[in-house]
Order: sequence, then structure tokens, then C-alpha cells
Amino acid sequence: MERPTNTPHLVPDVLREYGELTRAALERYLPATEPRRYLYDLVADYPRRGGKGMRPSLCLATARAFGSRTEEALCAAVAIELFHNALLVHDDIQDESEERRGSPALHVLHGVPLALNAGDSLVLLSLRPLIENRLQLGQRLTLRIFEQTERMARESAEGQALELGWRRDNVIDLSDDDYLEMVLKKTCWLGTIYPLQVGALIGARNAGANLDPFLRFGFFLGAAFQIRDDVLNLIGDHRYGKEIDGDIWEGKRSLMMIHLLREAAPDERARLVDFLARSRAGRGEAEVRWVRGLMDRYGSIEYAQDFACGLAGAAMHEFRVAYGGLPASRDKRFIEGMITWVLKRVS
Amino acid sequence: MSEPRLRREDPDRTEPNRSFSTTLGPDATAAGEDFVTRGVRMGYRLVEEQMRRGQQAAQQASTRFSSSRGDMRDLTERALRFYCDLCTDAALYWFDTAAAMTIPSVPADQPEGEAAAAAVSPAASSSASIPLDIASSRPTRVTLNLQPGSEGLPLEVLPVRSRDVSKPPLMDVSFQTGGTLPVLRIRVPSDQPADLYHGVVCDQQSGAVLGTLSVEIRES
Amino acid sequence: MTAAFELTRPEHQGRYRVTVYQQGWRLGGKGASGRGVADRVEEHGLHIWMGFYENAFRIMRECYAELGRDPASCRIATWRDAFFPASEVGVMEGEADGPWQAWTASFPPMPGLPGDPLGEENPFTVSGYLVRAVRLLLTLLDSVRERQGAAATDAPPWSSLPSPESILDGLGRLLRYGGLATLAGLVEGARGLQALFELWSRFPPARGAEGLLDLLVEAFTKSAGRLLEGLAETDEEVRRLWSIADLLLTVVRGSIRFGLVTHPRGFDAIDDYDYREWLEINGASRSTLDSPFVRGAAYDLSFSYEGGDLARPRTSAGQALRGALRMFFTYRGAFFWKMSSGMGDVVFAPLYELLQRRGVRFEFFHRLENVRLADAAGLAPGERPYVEALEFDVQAKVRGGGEYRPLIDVRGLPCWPSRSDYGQLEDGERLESEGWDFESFWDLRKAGAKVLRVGEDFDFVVLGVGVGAIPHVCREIVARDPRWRRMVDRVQSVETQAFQVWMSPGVADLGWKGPEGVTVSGFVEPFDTWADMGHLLAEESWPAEKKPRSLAYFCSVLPMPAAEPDRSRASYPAERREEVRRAAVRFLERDVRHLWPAAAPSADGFRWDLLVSANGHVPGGAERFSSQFWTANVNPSDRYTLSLPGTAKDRISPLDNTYDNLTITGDWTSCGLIAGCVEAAVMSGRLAAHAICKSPTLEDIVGFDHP
Repeated sequence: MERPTNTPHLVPDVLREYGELTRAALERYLPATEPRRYLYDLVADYPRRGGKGMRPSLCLATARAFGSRTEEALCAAVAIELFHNALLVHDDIQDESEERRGSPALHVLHGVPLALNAGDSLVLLSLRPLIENRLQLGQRLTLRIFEQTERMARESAEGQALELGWRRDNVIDLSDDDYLEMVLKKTCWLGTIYPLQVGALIGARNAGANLDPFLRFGFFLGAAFQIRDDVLNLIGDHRYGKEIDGDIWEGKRSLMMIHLLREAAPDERARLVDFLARSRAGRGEAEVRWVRGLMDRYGSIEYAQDFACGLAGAAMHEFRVAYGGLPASRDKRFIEGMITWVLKRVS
Repeated sequence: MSEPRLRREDPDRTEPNRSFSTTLGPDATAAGEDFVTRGVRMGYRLVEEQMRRGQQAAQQASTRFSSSRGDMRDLTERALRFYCDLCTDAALYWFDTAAAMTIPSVPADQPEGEAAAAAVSPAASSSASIPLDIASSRPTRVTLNLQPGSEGLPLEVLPVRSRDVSKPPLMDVSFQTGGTLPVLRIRVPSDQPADLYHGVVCDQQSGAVLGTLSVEIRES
Repeated sequence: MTAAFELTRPEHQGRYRVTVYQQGWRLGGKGASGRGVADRVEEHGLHIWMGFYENAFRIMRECYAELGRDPASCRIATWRDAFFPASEVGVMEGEADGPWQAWTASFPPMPGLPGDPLGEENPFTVSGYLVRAVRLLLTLLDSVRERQGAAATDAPPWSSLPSPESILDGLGRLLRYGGLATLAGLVEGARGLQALFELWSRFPPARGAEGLLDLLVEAFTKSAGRLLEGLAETDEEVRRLWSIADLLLTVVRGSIRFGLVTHPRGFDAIDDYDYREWLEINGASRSTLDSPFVRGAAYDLSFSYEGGDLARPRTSAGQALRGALRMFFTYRGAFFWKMSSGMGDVVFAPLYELLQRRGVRFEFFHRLENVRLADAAGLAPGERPYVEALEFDVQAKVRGGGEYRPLIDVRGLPCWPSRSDYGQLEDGERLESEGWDFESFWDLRKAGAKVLRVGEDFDFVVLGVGVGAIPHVCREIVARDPRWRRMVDRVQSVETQAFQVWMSPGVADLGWKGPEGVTVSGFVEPFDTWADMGHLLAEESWPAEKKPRSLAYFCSVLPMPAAEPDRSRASYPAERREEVRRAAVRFLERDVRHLWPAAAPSADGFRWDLLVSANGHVPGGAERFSSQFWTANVNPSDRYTLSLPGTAKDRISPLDNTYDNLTITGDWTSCGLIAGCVEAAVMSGRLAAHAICKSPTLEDIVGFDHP
């Protein structure tokens, strides 16, 4: 019988440690050549702003929990972080977000064309560590990781398309199901599933490893994480690095918004639909506050929190299936600790 | 002013109820399920569906690639094509970057040459001193980037393609051996569409990527 | 019409005053029909009422009851006179150039009659459908067993097992120990499934059950395939039974895999898939996918070809499955019902008479041109947008200013004529000689204009045009409202074509080997569906010496041009009609011999002399076809509504209250049943009435709440 002996600091400590390790390794892949002003300075901007480091940490910790050395999974962790930053650049443009990690978004600083180009470059840069994996992991494993990368990239693109499509067409008759599907694709694949799967492949040193348990665990963990993220967007303080209520400004179909659309009285719903049909520029401060007030009145935020707790419970169950057979270790405790951390975090 | 206009009252709902729990009526046992349980249940269903799709994709992939070499050459090819699809910028920049990444050290300055409209014009550039045997009826520019020391290895060119998938690849490109140095042999068909074509050069034995080849065909 | 029927029910005590504005001279839209020379029944196409059209039958039963026609003086006095069971259904199997084989079946009568009150138990659950699917499977296995001459086996009674888990355990054992390898094992397995699904109607399936069940059904399919395909090589009947069994198993398997039993969106959860694509994902064999059962039943009968292009059969898996399950498993009385006269005479004439008696006013010859919205700038705070005015072109004025009397008397039966009665119209002779086509979208001629204003002329609008007409009449709404725009973009419709031929021999003399009164689908294009409508001949008035003995209807989609022709192209309907005529002649010369060998003397020819003409002058050869009836249904409002994959969510409900004095109705709205048919139109009309007066209740609209 194994008892978790998590200290309250374990998760933040490991996140910081692995995050810094990854960022240091990542520097090696950032070109120090010209044109800096228009490209490489922009490319390096988001990765250097830091971040939670959740993705590379999940990858490194899983590989280590399976008995791998940190260096063996570092290339993969760097690739994940680079790819993640690339998508952030694109997301911010598509969502018309103004802030990222407490500073103005890249496209706000440099304009959309240059930001877009920098995002593309980040995607390309993430290829290099994946190819370098060959030196340490051999060709079969490298190829398998690459196949997972293809799947992850495709799912992420589909998820982003779903969400953008909903907003463009002002789709309003969405169910919790639809939301979960979008989150599975948009957030979970890159955020949790892929890092865990790659970590497991490297750790098990087995290109034929069964990755389904990590898909299950990753999904529940990632979905709980995303819902918490959306909640923080509404109730967060300065520690949360994005603009507060930004999701409402953007008309994002969060679980709270879907709940509200379902619960609001017909006249409120009609007004809400009209609000959502407009562009970001067409929405006013007063209306955003009105939407936010409705969410309070109908208990949408509470609903989402409870929903996330349910998913986290399932994640706990799936954690035991996926990691149950592994010996106790700090890394294993960290991964388990992530489940409660996603629910309690404030930033 | 006339009387106020009549308005319809808002309906309780506008869509049919398609859910199991409610079509069964209020006594149904399933109706007691709370939304948290339902959420988890929905989650499981989704994730099972994902796994099924993954298996399907894997099956397809395994049949698609079963005949191929399954080594780094495949990986490089697929990587390039995949990233090429992913990027929004249509510029050829992708290729250079990818190539630069696969080749740790590229010589700083490379001579370049241009083929005239001659039928056979050994006019091209090559970082290595590899002779070129080219037949093209149109102006054609060839750029070969190779890691130093590659000349002595058995070289192989992977398919040389345009970014535009509708254009056929350059088929007749190979390294001829026999003498002390390999000769890069290129035959450009007269109906080959003008464009920039790229390919990867590998070590025939290990499959390791040694460099890249670009062939630019212009309108005559 | 349904909305008018509901709003003017006697129980409302005249609370709603209704005026119906109708283009041209007849009611019915796609379902309109008319009487031509010799009182021939001439229709837009084939109309068959399915035995599950609960709402439509209910309205017609109530209509006939309230109308109280005298059976002594009127031969269609009750709804049973109007509709009769026609259970002979067939599909054609074969290749484009033959040989074609007909496979006909007669569906057994089921308890009750359509439109009867429903019992206590909700018949519309996915688990209930699964039970019925497995029951049918058992019947099929049983008939295979009988053909083999094997004895029935006594299997342990599964239904005595207390819980889904214990049944699953038992099924798991059956699977592990190879129990499914024999016919008896298959029967036992199917009984187990049946018992399990019956329990599911009370206890929803537990997680984890799906995986095992999926394996089980897969093993079942493989094993049944092995057993039956061997037999099928020599036994044609077994082959057909196997193709139905494979379809049933695929549906069971897919429903389990996709979690449809408890899915909150019901069958809409698979709306994004094309029906055949979904069947294929779930393991249907190639021959099942290509079988006329799938193609004829799910595509041909509902014109499910995108853009009318026969190379693009596409229909939503969710709706196809919902429709097929309702069609096969919830019919009452008979599977199909046919009308004993044209649909106009059986449905719209009595509705017209009854509504008129209830005080509804009818304004014929009113062509709606614009639904005008109130200026958005003038809305009070919080006020919804609304319809301020309706702009009509008045196509013709009635002489003396009274109401137009549209019906004619055909030996005691009120009927619609095929053309308007110019005698009642101002300047009627001129309109007739100039050939004004009151039903054409492209004929813009008019005698005047009329504008109805909110508060003065109307309070509420029920808009009952086809979806194809929405971009024209609601252009202001479509321009400002993305949901409406999306709806008109995505909810597509197709033009259709039909022809009718009256022939001197009966169908048996034509060489048809199957039963009389049959409806056959899945046949060679361009006319994939044939119905023997000989029963209508008694309704018509032919001189004794040239009375035809058979009447055949053919219909199918009509491939559409890339863009809707401009309204200035007045000749468009005539051009299309000519195309249909040529296609029909070609079809009769080349293809019809597969149905009626005796009508075709050679591989390429048709005995044109068999056609009976009502006119004195009778041309010979293929020219003789011009004495028959054919139509190209090209008016935007007359096009057939498709249920393309992924478009269920794009439909707008009659209940939608965005414009708070406007409600829409038609089979293209979000009315629960997403199919182009009279049942959907009636459900939609009842919803429109509910939107205005909360009656009928939503629970009373049968099949609205349906998975």
C-alpha cells in the first residue's frame, strides 16, 4: 500500500525545476542570427517569458517515473514547449487577446504579420529536437514519437477550428458534450496527453507501448485544468497572466457560457446571443459586466468548478491505472499531485 | 397611436428533448444522475471514441507505410511535408530552416551558378565538389548543400518535389557512381512545370540526412 | 394548413381569426394535385403516407370527422375512404444495364391505427428500437432455420436473469467458449441481447458494458456471416435475409459504440456522418452498403442526392436511422398507406372546406414578395425585431370582388382542377390566352399589389413557404441574421421530376411478376421509384371504350444547375419540363423493360401504342408521350428538402421567438423529424400553432420528443 506523501510545495517546486531545465535547454535551439529585430527576437519572446512549465514537466516526470534519465526526455520536453509557444502566438492572434503572461501579446507589440511569421518559425524550430531524439532514442522510438506528434498537431488544429468556428457562426446550442470534445482536442492533446504519452514512450523505451491509459488520464487531467483556467479567467487576480474577463470579451464558449446559455431566461438568452454575435470591438464594458453578473446569478462558475472536480476524480482513478505499477518516486508523486493542483491553482 | 403590438410569449424550449433520461419520464432511474456523474460519463465516452480513432489511424498508417523503409528517410520526408502543411506562410522559408536543422554545419558561403538555356549545361553550385550532369531545355538552377565529407559516402536523393502537390516530382535525379566522385545526374522533362523543387540527400546505407538539393526551373 | 387547423379548433372559441394567402389557385404546395383531361389525377410526384405519420393521420382523421361528409353522396366521406393500406413494397436489385430483379415484400399489419392515442409506454427509446431490431433478427434466424429444416432449440430463458450484469456475464461466457459458432448459438445470443436491451429501457447501460457488447456483436456478425454466407451462395432468399441481418447488426453495434442509448442528443449525435459512411464505420459489409435496402429506402425514397446529383448520395446518418427505425418499427395498421385520390382531393380539399366552414378566409392569387421588418432604429429598448408588413403581388383579381371558389365537382367529390378557373377572374380571357403561369416563380406578371400592416391587417404571421423560397421572401432577415443565413445556406433542397403514364394493359399484362399496387424503389436512374397507382383509375372519368387498366407513377430527383436561374428567365420551367419529357421517353424506351418485359418488344424500344390518350387526336410513336402527364418541380418553394449530414443544428424551430410576431412552418424547420415529408410538415404546423397559443402541448406532438 502506497501513501502519497506530498508536501504542499512539491508541485510548484517540480514545475519550477523542470520548467527551468527545459527553458535552459531550449535556448540552444533559438537562432542567434539575423534578422533579430523582425524574427528571432520575436521567436524568443514567449519562451523567455516563462510560464507554468506544465507540459514539459509532465513529460520529464513521466519519463523519469518509468526510470528514464532526465537528459533522455529533454529534447522532447523542449519540442513540446516550442510547439506550445508557437500555438500561443497563433491563439493570441486568432482570439484577439491583448495580454500573455502579464505582458502585451506578441502581435500587439509587433503587428500580426510579424507575429504570425514568428509563430510559424517556432513550429519549425520544434522539429529539430524531435529529430535529434534519434541520437539518444534510436530510430523506431523517434519515429513513433513523431507519429504521436502528427496526431497531436492534427487534433489541436481541429480543436482550434471547432472553437473558432463556433464563434464565427455564433453557434449557441452547445452542450457540455460539445465543450468536452473541443477541450479534448484543443487543450488536452498538447497540454497533457501528448507530453504524458511521449514521456511514457521514452521512459518505457518501448515504441510499441500501450498509450491508451495516458490518453484517458491526460484527458481528465487536461479537461479539469482547462475548466479551472476558464474559471480563473473570471475570478483570477493579478497572478493570473491574462486579462480578467477576457474570455467574455472574446465571446469564448466556456463551460460557464454554455451553462448560462442553457439556464438563462429567454429574454436574457436572446440578449446574450446578440452579445455573442457581435465582434469583440462591438462588445461594451457594461455588457461584459452584465454577462459576468448573470453567471454569478445562475451559478455558472460553481457549476463549472463542480464539473471540474468530477473530472479530477476520474483523473485520479485513471492515474492509478496508468501509474499504479510503478515504484514510488518523487516524480510519480508530482504527477498525482498535479490532479489537485489543477483545481486549486490561482495562476 | 394604435394599440400596442401583440407579441408571442417566449416558449419554454425550442428543441425536442432527445435525452434518454427525460424521454423515459420523471420516474426513470437514470433521471437521478447528477451533472458531475454525467460529465465524467460523457468524458469516458469521448475518450473511448478518441482511442478508437487512434487505432483506426494506426491501422491505416501501418498499411500505408508497411512497404516503406521505416527509417530516418521516411521520418525526414514526413516531417518536412507535415510541417509544410502546418505553416500558414507559404514561403519556401520552411525548407531552408528544416534543412539547416538537419545539417549541423553548413559551409558559410556557397558558390552558385546558373544553367543557361542550353540543352546540357553543367552549371550549378555545390558545396562539395560534386560534378553535375544536367539536361534541361530551360534555365535551371541547381543548389546542393552537403555536409563536408559526404562526397565519399554512397549518396541517395529522396523524391524532389514542389511545394505545390499538384505538380509532379522530378523523377530522374540520382547520384551516379563509378569514378572517384559521384556525379549528380538530373534530367528535366520538357513538360516539367516551372517551379522550385526540393529534395533531401541521404546516406544510402544509414539513411542519415546529409544535405539538401534545390532545383529551380524557370520559364524559358 | 395545419397551423390554421390548430388555431381555429372549436375549443379556441374563435379567438384567432385566420386568413390564408396563397399563390395561384390551389392549396397544398408540394402536395398539391389537380384534375386534368378526363379528370385525370395529376400530381407533383408520388405521395405515400407511412404508417408512422401519427400527427398527419390524426389531423386528417379529425378533419374528416368534423366535416361529416355524407357517405351516400360523397365516395370519400371518412378517413378510411381516403386512405387504404398498401403494404406491398419492393426494391430493385441490379446493375444499370441489367439484369434487374425485383424483390418485393409485404409488411405485416401492426396493432392499432396511425393517429390512435398512444399507450402509456413511450415507444420512442433507443433501447426499445434495439429490442425490436433483435426481435426481427430472431425472426430472420428462425426463417433460415426453417429453410434448413432444423428443429427449434430450447435455450435457457434469459429474461429471468435479474440484472444487466448477469446477462452480460452469460453472454461473455457464450462468447468465450465459442458458443456462437452454430445457428442455435446465434439464436441464444440474440435472445440474450434482446433481454439485455429490454432491461436497458429501465436501467441505463453501465460503463464497461459497451466494450464487451461491441466484441459480442462483432463475433456474432462474423459467425452469422460465416454460417449464412455459405448458404447464401445457393439460396437467394438467405442472401437477402443475410443482408437485412447484417444491416440490423450494424445498427445495433453502432448504437452501442456511439453511446446512442443514453446520448443526450439522441440520433443527432451522429448527424455529422453520412448514413452509409456511418454504417461502414460500424462494420457493414460492402454488399449491405450497396444493397437496395440501404440505397432505395434511405436515399431514393427521400431524394437524398446533394444538388440532385446522382453521384452524390448524402443523407444524415442520424436522421436516416431515426426515420428507418420509426418506419420499420413504429408503424401502426399498415407499413404504407396510399390515398384513394390525388393528395389535393384527399387532404387539401377537405381541409379547405372545413377551414372555410370554421371562418377562415382564403385569398388566392397572392404571391408573397417580401416579409418586411420594422426598422431596427425604431425599436423600443428591449423590444425584439418584428415583421412590420407583408408585401404581396396580386396575380389576378376575382371578378366582382368576392372570394375565389377553387374546387370543382368530380361526380360528387370536391377536387382541385389542374388549372385555374379563368372565368372567375377579372380579365380572365386575356390571362388565359397570354398563358399566365400563376405557380411559376419566374412569371412576374401581376394585376396589382397589396401591403398588409402589423396591427391593422395582422398580429401574427405564420410563414409556410418552402425553404428554397426563404432567401427571396425573407431577404431582410437573411441579410441581418447569421442564423437564418446559415440555415438557407446549409439546409438545401433539390428539384424533382415525375411522370405518369396511363396504359391499356394491366400491370400483370405488362409482364410485371410481382404483386399489384406495389411501390418499388432503388431502380435504374433517372427514375428510381415506380408506384403502381391503378387504383386511381376508378376516380377518373374515362370514356368506356378507352378506359386504361393501369396507371404508373415514376419519380426521382432532377439534377440542379449550379446556380438558381435569375427570375427574369421566364422560360426556365418550360426548359426543365422539356428535359424531363426527354428523360422519360428515353427511360421508357431503354429501361422500363426490366419492370415490364411485355411493354418492350426489343432491347431498345417501348410499345407507345399502349399509352392511352384522353384527347381525340393521338400522335404515334414517342410523340404519343406528350398526351401523358409529366412535371419538373423547379419552383424554389416546391423543391424537396434534404437532410444533409451535419445540418440538423442549422434548422430553426417554429418555436423560435427571435422575431416575436413571426413563426415559420414547413418540413424544413427544426420540428423533431428532420425529413422532407408530410409528417414533418404537420409537426411543424402544430409547433407553429403552439408558438402562438401554447396549444397543442409539445407532449401532444407525437415524436417531437424522440431520441
